[in-house]
Amino acid sequence: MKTIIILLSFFVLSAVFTGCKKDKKNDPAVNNPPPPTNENEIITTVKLYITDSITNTTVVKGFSDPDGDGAQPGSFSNNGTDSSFVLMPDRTYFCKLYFLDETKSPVDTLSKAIGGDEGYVHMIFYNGDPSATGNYGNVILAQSPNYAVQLNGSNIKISYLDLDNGPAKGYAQRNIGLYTKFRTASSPGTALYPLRIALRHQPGTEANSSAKDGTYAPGSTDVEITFKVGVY
Amino acid sequence: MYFGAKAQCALSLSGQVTDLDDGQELEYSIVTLAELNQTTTTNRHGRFVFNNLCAGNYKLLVQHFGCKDTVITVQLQQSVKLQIRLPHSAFELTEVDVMDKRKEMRNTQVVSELSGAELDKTKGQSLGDALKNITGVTTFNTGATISRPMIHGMQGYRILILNNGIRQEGQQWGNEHAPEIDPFIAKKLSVIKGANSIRYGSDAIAGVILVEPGDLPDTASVTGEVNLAGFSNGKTGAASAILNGYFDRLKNFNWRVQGTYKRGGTVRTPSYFLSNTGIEEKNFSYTLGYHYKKVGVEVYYSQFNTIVGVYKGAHAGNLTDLKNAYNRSKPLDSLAAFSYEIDKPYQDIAHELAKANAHYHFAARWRLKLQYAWQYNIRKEYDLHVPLSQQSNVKPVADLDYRITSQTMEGLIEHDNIRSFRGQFGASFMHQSNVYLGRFFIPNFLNNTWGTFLTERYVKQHFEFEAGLRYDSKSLQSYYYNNNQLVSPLLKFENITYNSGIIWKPDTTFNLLGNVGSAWRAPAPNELYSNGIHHGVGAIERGNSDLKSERVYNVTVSAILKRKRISAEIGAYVNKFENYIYLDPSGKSELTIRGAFPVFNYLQADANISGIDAQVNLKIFSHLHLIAKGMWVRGWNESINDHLVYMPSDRGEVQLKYEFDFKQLLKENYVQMNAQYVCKQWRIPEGGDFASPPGEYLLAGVEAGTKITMGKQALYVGFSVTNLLNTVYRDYLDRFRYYADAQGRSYNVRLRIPLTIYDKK
Repeated sequence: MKTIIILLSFFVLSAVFTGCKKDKKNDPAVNNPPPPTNENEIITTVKLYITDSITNTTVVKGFSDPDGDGAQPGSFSNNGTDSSFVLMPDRTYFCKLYFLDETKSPVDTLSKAIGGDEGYVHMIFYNGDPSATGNYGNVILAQSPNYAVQLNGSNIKISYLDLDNGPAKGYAQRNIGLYTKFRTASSPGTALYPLRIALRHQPGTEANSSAKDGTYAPGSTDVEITFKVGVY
Repeated sequence: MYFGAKAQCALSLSGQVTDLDDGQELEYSIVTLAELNQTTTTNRHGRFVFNNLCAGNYKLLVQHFGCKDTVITVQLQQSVKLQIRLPHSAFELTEVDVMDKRKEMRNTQVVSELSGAELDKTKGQSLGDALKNITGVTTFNTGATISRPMIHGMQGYRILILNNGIRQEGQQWGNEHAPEIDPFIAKKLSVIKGANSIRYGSDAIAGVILVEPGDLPDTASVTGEVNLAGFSNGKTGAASAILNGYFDRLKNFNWRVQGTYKRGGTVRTPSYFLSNTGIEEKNFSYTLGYHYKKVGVEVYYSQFNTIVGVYKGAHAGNLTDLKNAYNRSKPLDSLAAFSYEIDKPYQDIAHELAKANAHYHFAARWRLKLQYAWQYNIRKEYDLHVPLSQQSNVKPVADLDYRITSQTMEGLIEHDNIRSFRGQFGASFMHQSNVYLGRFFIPNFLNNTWGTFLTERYVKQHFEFEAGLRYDSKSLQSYYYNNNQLVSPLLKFENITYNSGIIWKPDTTFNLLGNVGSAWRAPAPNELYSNGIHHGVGAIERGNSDLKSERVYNVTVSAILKRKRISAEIGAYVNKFENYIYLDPSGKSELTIRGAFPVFNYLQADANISGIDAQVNLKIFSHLHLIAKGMWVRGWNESINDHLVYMPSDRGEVQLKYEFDFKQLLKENYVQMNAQYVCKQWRIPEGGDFASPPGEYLLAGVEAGTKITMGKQALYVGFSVTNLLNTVYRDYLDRFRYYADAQGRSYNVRLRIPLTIYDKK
């Protein structure tokens, strides 16, 4: 009798212990795999609008990867010619970055959210030579809220013009980098230099929702494309 | 030679009792001297002795379970030493018991086991970590909490794991997927090293790992055991209890219930914490058995549930991130503190197993075994990546979600000792269905595999010879979207494997084993169909749907020596692979919106994996033992003329153990010092890795154990310190070596409390 009581209590305990967590009933049929819809937003396209402050003309350079980071590779727009461009020396340009999800109809402009509600967990970094160590090839000229860097190679000075919603979420005021001012110096020659643009997503934990601290290090990369830019 | 004065009755009659057929020493033989009404039983080596005998004629009756009673007439003029060989009995019932008690046919390959005190030392560790104590076995880790066993450098689908006799089926293709087995159910962990497809079918290329519970009791009793283990690093605790019994009223029924709970927090390297490396595990199992004369039936159900955190710093967005992580001396979040919380990224896995088996002795020396098992493995992985606008209070949806259901059926006919032949003939069938929700990485599929085999062994006292043949057929139907089109390719694989082995046993102290065999495995779903970024590894992997089955031809030679002062085991093996499947670095990168990723393609090649495992145990003084182990593995890709990736480096281990007794209270005491040296793995393929392998390292440890007896209750206690010197190191076979150091020092304690609630004996 004692044995039966021990056994019964064990059955009950283990059932309570683990709960009935098996989702077997909801398993889909094997011959019906989930079609590749992307309910979550994915970034498929990056567009860099560069406006010359003197002539007021705007040039667009783009990169597109139709399935985000899926199996199909991405490429620079206009048959790849968008991968490089040339800026005039000693000139100021105003640049705007757009991130789009072109799998949705109508096209979803994700940079709106990145610049708005999601600003406190995103930051864009413009780097010079990606293989350089120590600040990734930049010289940091000023910190947030007036973040500015100077890229090595092209010597372009980039000042960040936008602010995030950090204070509304209880964090320090920082920049994002969707709107920037590019100031070119005198021409370093006719060579092309790397201009790497990386969108860093820097969420924290449930306790501390943002890991953004003004540096590249925290978080992970959602977008990384490297243009080649000449200044001459 | 005595010239006995009649008053001198000082002669001795001693001897050894062995099995006539295989020379096995027969413990517990009953030897009776009829004239003097004296009885004794033989010891572990089958030896007995009668002293102080007078010269004369004696009749010696020798009896052993399963053997024919034998009477030997001795004319005792001087002390004699007899060698008594008992033949098998012809009685049906005793045949049954002998076959039951005889383990499944011993192999012509080396079987290494962990049982008893050696197994106790590993309680609380994961299965992979426990098996590391066997020479030739290493682990491939994803940090300290996810450990996959490797035999001779091979893992995943090249190893077969039998969980209580059933092949463990989950998502074995993932390097970061540990086997979903609770080592607390085991009374014995065994590793058969070498190609073993004859008996078990596909995947037994490097060997087979057997996780075996103890026998259920067959006398009225309720006994059990409680095991507790604690580890200071990670503040991890594990508790497991087993209760087994034999019903007093309901004769012939026996049962077992078992449960385990394990909880651990953040693991620490010598310099910092690795954030989010907690683990929680909840497992239980039930067994019910019935045995009556020639029939036995057993049903078993087990559940394994675990949530394991994946180190946050190990998330590589792209190659840039990976290289940056590797170049940092300390990870970014090195100021993290200890916590039991498990946050993203983490894995949430549940594994259910239900099995029923029966055996029936339908004739003297013949037995039929049938087995059916159902397994359901559900694996969910939650990435660190949070979609753009996901609220933290919304229930997280798993990024990867796979559910695989496997049903296996097996029938086996065995015969024991007919004209020195023992053999098995069997057939098996497996039906598997895999579905995924969430992100695609491997497709949905239906897998049907069936096989049939025959193996015979010729057993004599000084040698054994074995040969076996098997045929397998597998069909794999997959379903997935390719360029937004639903495709359902069907692949078929057929294989014949064979095996032949020999054991030479000149005496009971030395065995020489030789084995030649072949094994196969079908390509894994990720090797066939993966296409895209393998998150967390920083690479694009492209599967190859034209891959054929991988085949191996294996030759193993082993020598086992067991003498009084020295015992040793050394094994050398050569594996020649045809169509070895591996990830080839293409040298090219592909641009995606997330950056440039190097591309790896799954290819096939002729390859070679060979090596030596060696272990020596030396008794220096009566209580002092020196144990030395060494492992060497060489993997070579013949097609590209380069090393194979992820082969373990050469390593050696030395242990010094002192055993002693201390009064009546503390018995079976021991103190031991260990040192393990692992060489740097410089034998790596070019371009196959993002960072150079870490350097060599030395790990030291101490351990001690005792048995405390309080009245009738025994208590087994063990202490140990692992990574005693708090060595800073990274291991080549650990995915986290790009990001962080390995675990630092840990103070560990374990307690085993055997329970006897009641025992009629």
